[in-house]
Amino acid sequence: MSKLVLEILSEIQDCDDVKNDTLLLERGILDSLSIIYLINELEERLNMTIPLEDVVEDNFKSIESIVEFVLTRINDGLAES
Amino acid sequence: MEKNAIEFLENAAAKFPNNVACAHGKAAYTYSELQSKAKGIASQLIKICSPSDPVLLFMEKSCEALFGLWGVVCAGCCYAVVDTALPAHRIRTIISTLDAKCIITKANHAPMLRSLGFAGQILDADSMLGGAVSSDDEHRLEEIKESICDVDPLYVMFTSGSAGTPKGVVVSHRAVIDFISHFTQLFDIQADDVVGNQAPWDFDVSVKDIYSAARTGAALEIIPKKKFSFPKELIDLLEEKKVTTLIWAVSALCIMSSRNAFEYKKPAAINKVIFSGEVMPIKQFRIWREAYPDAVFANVYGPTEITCNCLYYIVEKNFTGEALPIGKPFPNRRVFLLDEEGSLVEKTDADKIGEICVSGSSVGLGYYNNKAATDANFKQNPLNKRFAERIYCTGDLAYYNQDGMMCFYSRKDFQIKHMGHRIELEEIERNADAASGIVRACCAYDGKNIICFYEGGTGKKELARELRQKLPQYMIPAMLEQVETMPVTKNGKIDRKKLLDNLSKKRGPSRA
Repeated sequence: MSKLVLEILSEIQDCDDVKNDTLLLERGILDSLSIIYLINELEERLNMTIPLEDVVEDNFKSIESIVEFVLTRINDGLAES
Repeated sequence: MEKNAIEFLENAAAKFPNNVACAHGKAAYTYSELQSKAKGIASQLIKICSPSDPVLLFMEKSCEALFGLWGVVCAGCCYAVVDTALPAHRIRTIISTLDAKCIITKANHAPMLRSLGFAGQILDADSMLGGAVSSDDEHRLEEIKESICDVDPLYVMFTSGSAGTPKGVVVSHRAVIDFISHFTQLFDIQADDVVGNQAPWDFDVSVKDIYSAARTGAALEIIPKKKFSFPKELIDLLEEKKVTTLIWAVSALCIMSSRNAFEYKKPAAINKVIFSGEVMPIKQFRIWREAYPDAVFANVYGPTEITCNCLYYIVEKNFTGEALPIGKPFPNRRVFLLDEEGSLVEKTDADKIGEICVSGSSVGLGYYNNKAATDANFKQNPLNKRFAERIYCTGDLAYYNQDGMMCFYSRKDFQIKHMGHRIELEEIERNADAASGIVRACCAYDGKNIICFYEGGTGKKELARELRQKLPQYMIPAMLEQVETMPVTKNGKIDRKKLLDNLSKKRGPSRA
């Protein structure tokens, strides 16, 4: 999963030295435009919906935190169906 | 009638001393505080600079940056706001174009500015605040205010340039006074309004926020850039701060409408939504209209060179069309279309295409330290043989619809609008050409992404690094694509359309 996130981020920016705990907002890798790109790509590739309440700073701090909330969301979806 | 922009601030401080002038996060200042802080900064600047000298503001947007901005204005100087996140190479180009005597910044940026070869004075914004204004300073500031003519420059705004370097558009006090007076009247901006500032200050949309607030005594609510990444937080802020007026880039409005943010909450106070920068997708517009059926929505158009906007269209309640017109001229503006032969396109000549040309008091003074580009773009009106009438030819093509409203058609050259930013594709190409091992580069825009095609080259990595070092984030191509040889049109020019066609064939229909 973290590989997938890194792959999408690399389409936006040079991510050579980005680690799982690199602060994406501080580094300017994620901003208002790239976040929308990332969300759309995640939704499309993982066939999921990311609701507005998930689009908060805590969930997008680093690759680690993105993976964590995406996995939680997927598990929730499985539990419901 | 004001004769310089200093009077905007003076009038607001006299009429509305206790109104909030600006707010940012938890900080808020009244007009009387803004004026005294601006004068404190101005009294230090006048010991270094002469009237009309350029002063760089190298700061993030904030209340402190606004003190600095008005400080420069009160000192009779002109300011240029420079984004601190720009690549070093671009900052260096701007510094050398302006050749300013001083930069106002935060102390932590000083070493970087020195390393870029800036030899003038670096003034620390924090230590400039709270400086006392002596009666001598007070007297000198009064003298300067008297001496400023409305043709003097107020600011320099840098935009992308096709020759490979950014150009600094110089705008006069008169241009801003004239435009902002009409703008605030037309959209009925008043002292009790709260203007939600989205635009970065090195972007001319922000001029409308800053000066509309100052002219009317309204509050400027400075919205941190980060909020635009998180629609929920943005909506909470708009609600909490009771923002009434949004003068935003289309892409910023779409951040809210495209993620169904209104299902979460509709900030109650919003009553004016004025947008520009690119074509508003009609689907997004309908979401906004549905959320705010009683608000005023206006599509406004204009390049930095003519000071903010020259055309506006207030969307009718019963609008059902597929594309929003850019409308009709603001008061005291002359906007007309010239066809390829340089003849006037009549209003009754519906659907005939021509280039949008603008004259009037708000046309800019040209490009800073760049006579060649100024002469090429600011010209005598070819229709007027009798006396001097300066016009700016925008390079944008438009036509009149059946109702006599102008509608945007396309660009004449290779300038594009990407996420609200104006970009000359040739500027990216000139920088790509300079990368080692690249034979030649050509950039194209598919409506969503900038793609850089290149011949030769030792590798993508190096090209990517080169572009990243020289260009701002929004100009970096989303894709670097190597080609054997560039396809050419029958006129011998690189065929951008063919490049895009070949690429979409190669990529296949899998992903749009």
